[in-house]
Amino acid sequence: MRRLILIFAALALAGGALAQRVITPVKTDDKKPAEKQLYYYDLHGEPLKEPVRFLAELDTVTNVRSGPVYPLLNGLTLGVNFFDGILMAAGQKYGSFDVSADLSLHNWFFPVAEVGIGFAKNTPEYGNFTYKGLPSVYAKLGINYNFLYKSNPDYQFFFGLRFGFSAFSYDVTDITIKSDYWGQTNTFDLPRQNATAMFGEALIGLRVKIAGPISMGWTARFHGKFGTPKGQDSQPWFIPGYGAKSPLAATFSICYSLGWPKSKMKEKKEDADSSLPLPPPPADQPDETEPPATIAPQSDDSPTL
Amino acid sequence: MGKTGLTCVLTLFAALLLLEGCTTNDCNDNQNSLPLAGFYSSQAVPQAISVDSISVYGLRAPGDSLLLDSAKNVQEVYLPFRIDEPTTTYVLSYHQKAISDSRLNDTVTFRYRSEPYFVSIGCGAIYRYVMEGIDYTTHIIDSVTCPEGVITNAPMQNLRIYFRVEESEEAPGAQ
Repeated sequence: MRRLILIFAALALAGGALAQRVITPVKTDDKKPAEKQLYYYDLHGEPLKEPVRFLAELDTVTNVRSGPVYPLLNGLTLGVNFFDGILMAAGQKYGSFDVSADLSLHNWFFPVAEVGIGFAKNTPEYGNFTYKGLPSVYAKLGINYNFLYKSNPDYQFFFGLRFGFSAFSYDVTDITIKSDYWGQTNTFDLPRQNATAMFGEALIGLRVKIAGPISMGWTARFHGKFGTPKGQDSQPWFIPGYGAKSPLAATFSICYSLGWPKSKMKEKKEDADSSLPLPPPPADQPDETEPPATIAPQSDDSPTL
Repeated sequence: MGKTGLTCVLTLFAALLLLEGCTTNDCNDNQNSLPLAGFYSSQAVPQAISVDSISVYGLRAPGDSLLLDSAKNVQEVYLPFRIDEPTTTYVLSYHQKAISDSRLNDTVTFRYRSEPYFVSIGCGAIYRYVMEGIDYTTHIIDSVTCPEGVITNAPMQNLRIYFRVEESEEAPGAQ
C-alpha cells in the first residue's frame, strides 16, 4: 500500500512538470493601425478575381448636367458632298454637288447652309427624247440636332431639317412623234424650259473624325416637293438638289472643321467634371509618393493591391 | 442601335437608292395623245350604245386603210389625229340593210392646235390637241363633242359621238 502511494505521488509530480506552459515575451505596439479588411466580393456581390482592400463607390454621379457642355460658338465646319458622283458612276443620269457650312452652337444645334449645282442628261432606251438638265444652282437652309451634344464633337449623330429652293433650266431635244395610221413623223425640240421648285427634307446623319480637322459625313434624306413645278411646255424630270422621282436621297461629304476653340472646350469640360462629387478619401491616406492603390478590379487590367 | 444595326440600315438605304436609280420609269398613261371616241345615244339622257356593221376610215389616209371594217358591237373607236396638219377628217360608213347607202355616210372633221408637251421620263413627249372646232354631217350622227376641250395622253374617252336612235332601237343596228 505504501508502495502504491509513492508511485502515484511520483506520477503526479511528473505530470505537473510536463504540463507547465513555456511563455515567450512579445513586445506589442498599441499605436499600430488596425489591419485593413480584404474584400473578396464587389458591391454587387460578385466574386472578385483578386481580393482588394478598398471598393470604389459606384454610381457616384448625383448631379447630372442637362444643359450644354460646350460653349455657344463651338466651331465652323465646311463640307463637300459628292455622293451623286458615286451614283452617276453606277449609272444614275443626274447629279447634285454642293458645299455646306454649319455652325456649332454648344455642339448641340447646327444651323446649316448648302449651296450647289445640279445637272442631268438622259436618253431613255424606249423614250422619244433626250432630257438635258442644264447646270443650275440650288440652295438649302436648315438645322441639325446633335444627339451626342455632350460627347466629343469629333463624332456626331444628328437629325436635321432642310428647306430647299432651285431655279433651273432644261432642254428636251430630239423629240420624235409618229403616227402610224397617217404615216407621219415629226421631230422637234422643247428648248430652254425654265422652272422653279421648293422642297423640304428630313434627314438623319453621322459625322466621324478622320484625322485632324478632317471628317466624313453621311446623311440619309426623305424629301418632298412643295407643289408641282412646271416649265412652259413640260414638267421637269430632274430638280437640282432634289433629284428625280425618288423620295429618298443621300449625301456623302468630306468636311473640314475651322477654328475649334479647344482651350475653351477643355475649360468647359473640366468645369463640368469638377462639378461631380469626389469619392471620400480612405481613412489612412497613403503617401503622396505612392501610386493610388485603392480600386476594385472591374476589368483584367485594373490595378489591384 | 448598335454598330451592326446602324450598318444594316445604311446598307439597306444605299441599296434602295441604287435600286431606285436603276428602276425604269413606267408610264401609267398613254405614250401619245390618242383621241378615243365613245358612241352614245342622242336621247335626253344619253346612254352608251353599241353599233353594228360600221366602218371608220380617215379621209386621205395612206392606202385607204380602215380603222374599223364592218365591225360589230362597237362602243368606242380610236381616231388618231394627223400630226402635220391642224385638221383630221374621218368617215363613218354604215352597212346595215336599212341605211347601207354611201349617201348616208357621215364625215367628222376635227380642227385643233397641236401643242408639244413633255409629260414625264416614262411617258415621254406628246402632242396635246387643243380643240378649236368640230364639223360633221348629220345623216345618222346627231352631234360630236369634246367635253374637255383638249386631248391629252390620259387614257379616257375624250370625244363623244351621239347617234340618233329610234325609240325601239338605241341606234342604227344598236344592240
